[in-house]
Amino acid sequence: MRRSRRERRRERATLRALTSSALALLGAAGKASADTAIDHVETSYSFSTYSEDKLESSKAIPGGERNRYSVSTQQLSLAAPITDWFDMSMQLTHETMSGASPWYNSADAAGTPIQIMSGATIKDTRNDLGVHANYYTDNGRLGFGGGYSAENDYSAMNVGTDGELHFNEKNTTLSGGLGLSFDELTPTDSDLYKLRPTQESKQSYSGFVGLGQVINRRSLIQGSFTYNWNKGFLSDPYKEVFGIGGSGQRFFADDRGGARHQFAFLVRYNRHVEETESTFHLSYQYYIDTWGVRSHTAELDWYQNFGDAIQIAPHVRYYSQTAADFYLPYLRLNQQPQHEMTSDYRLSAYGALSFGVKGEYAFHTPWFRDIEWRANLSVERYLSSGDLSLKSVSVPAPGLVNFTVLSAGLSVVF
Amino acid sequence: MKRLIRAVRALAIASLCSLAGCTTLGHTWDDWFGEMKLPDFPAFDEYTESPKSYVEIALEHDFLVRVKPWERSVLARHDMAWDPDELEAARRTHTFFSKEATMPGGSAGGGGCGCN
Amino acid sequence: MLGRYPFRAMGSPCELHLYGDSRAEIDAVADAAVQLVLGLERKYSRYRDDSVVAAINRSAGDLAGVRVDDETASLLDYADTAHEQSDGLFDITSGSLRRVWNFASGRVPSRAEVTEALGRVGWSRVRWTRPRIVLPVAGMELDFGGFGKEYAVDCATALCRARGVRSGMVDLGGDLCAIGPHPDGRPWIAGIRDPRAPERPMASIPLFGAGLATSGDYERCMIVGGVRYTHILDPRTGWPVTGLRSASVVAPQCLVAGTATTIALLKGARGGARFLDGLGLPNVRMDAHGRITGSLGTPSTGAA
Repeated sequence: MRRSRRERRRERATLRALTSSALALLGAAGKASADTAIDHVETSYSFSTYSEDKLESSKAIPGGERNRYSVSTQQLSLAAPITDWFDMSMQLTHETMSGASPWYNSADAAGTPIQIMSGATIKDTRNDLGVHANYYTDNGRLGFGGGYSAENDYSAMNVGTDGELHFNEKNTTLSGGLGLSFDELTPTDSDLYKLRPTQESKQSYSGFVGLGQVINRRSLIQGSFTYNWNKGFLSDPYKEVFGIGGSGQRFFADDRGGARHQFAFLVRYNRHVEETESTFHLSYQYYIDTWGVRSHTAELDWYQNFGDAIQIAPHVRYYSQTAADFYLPYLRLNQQPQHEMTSDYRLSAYGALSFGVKGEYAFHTPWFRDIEWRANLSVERYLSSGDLSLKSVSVPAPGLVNFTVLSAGLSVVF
Repeated sequence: MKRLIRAVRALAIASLCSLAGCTTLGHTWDDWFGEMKLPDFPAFDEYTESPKSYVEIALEHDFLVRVKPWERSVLARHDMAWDPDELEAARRTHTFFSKEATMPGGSAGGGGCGCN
Repeated sequence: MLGRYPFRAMGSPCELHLYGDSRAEIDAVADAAVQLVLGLERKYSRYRDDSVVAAINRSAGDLAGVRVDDETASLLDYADTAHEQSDGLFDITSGSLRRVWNFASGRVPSRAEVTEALGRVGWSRVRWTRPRIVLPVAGMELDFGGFGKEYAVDCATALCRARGVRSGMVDLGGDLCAIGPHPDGRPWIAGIRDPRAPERPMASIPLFGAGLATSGDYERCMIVGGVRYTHILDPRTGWPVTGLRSASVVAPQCLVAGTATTIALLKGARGGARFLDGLGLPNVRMDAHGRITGSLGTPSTGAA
């Protein structure tokens, strides 16, 4: 049979095309179950506003500052594969903060503590940059990361490493990591306030180890233990402890000592319910540290899907903590002042309940590659008080805060 | 010492609660341990090649291989990740960390800030 | 030593022949290879509710489609390439034609029924933008049966080679690949079944390290009104193709060999022969009159 030159070229091209496609396929198959870098570029942006409720009049001095803090945050993240076994990601945060914050507690006529706020601060800005790189092997991942955060009176630098090892055909995952953080504070107006330090530093060293296990096709569980050692200047330079006594009043610096060891035990469970097209996440953490604080955190997130496009996810979080050993609402001057003292409401005993809902809409556009978009809107309300605590609190801190967060975001996967 | 005892007691209660919780959510004893049989431990000298082998002896068991690679379609769902929305998780963790006395578990390091 | 591991997968009798230093060593490799093949079957079988193919088929008519993993995406890319290179003859959506061509019933469908069924066939209708696949017409379905077995042969061969097996053969229901020749250098001999006389091989093909795939029209057919209708359906017309009775091709990848035999049978008697000759791969085929041709077809190129 005679065949034209074009026909012969076409037939050779056919074999070449089929062979190269087969080789590409067989190359891809080998990596089906191994760990690989992400295979697409992802970028996300989110904007959120955080605003605290005004201080209740019963907890403030008449005519005193009652407005609290508000923060507006923008976050941008980008993650991209570099090779099959290496990927990198970056996260940028820009926050502007304004408002008054708690300064010290005074006492009303009955001796009940009331919160005195600092004068409303000028707008402050915080910028944070974090980068992370992952290196993948047949049955694990090793990651390295670092970051830098700066505001006008505070700067922090951190580095860390983290990784995972898979066993039992990726059913069991052992994870772990180590991190270091070096912070420097140069509190503003330290010349105006005698007790305020001019420059201080703080170091944190932390590590964690975790074990995750697939239970079945639709559920996972993970347990982890985290340890953190803080040393250096751990107190709040903007807060003071107020001492009242017959002879008058005196201010003391917020002093929390020079060391803090923290331990957290976390258990998390994820399960997908096929009948209702929903997934729920359940988590519980027990925390204890050498300042005497113990806390419980329990959270439930429910992701309800409506088809492939819409997801409504309500969530609820319960938190309860005990007070630090050296917390006192204010000092009575006939008492011996302790070496360590704080009136910061964040170290008092209280409970908090927060609930929120997030709505997400996913859609895709078939441009040069199928691009997946996710747009989300969420709201969260946080309430804290002595009544919500697991153990009854006799004198709750007057500065306990309630806040609302609203946020909107968009993420794109190429 | 007292704190340690309290910690251990609290941890024990927490583990029992999670176990009870998981059981009532539909997992019976069989789900977890039904096919369990004690593994045959190999001769010790077969496994002294590297430190990783020791971890493998401890963690590798037949009954822990609960899903095969082709059965992972549900587990690969976006909402089955520990943090489906990383930006939101980072933001919420940072908020709670600055307003509460606790540190978040599950990761090491991370950014600091002069939050007050 | 030689270990033989028979098992059943993809509706056919399969066997692994592996050479190794110790029984334990080749037992482990065979076990992994069998698990791999069964895994691929579970992942891509049209008959299993939990398979990827079933999930894609359930989404037919839904314009949102399904997002698939890397391996499935590469298989769909391969099917796309084969469709293009065969001018539309290799078409993984042609499976839905079996609904009108029911060989067990012995009934030939009417022209109208076939034309109607063609509305649900056509890879060109499918929107494939990696990694999302959309079957826009309800009732469309994908069937990986036309190349799934050959793909599994290649994957199993790669696994055995990666595990250090240098001599052996993978046989999944007649689609084979030699991992390597016998330790003494002899090739594996594959016999191609004569469609008219199943006990007698029509050709014996030596394999040193390549794959061999065979397609025949005798697997399912019916004779109605004196006319023979085979299960080889042209996806462009919906009607059976009368052409080569059987074609076998040798290629480094069993996948490529299988695609070649499938296309050859769809091209009809003369077209199929021209196609195989032009492709440049060793092959043997039998036409409707029982004539055996092809580079491997002459008796002297048979047994080594």
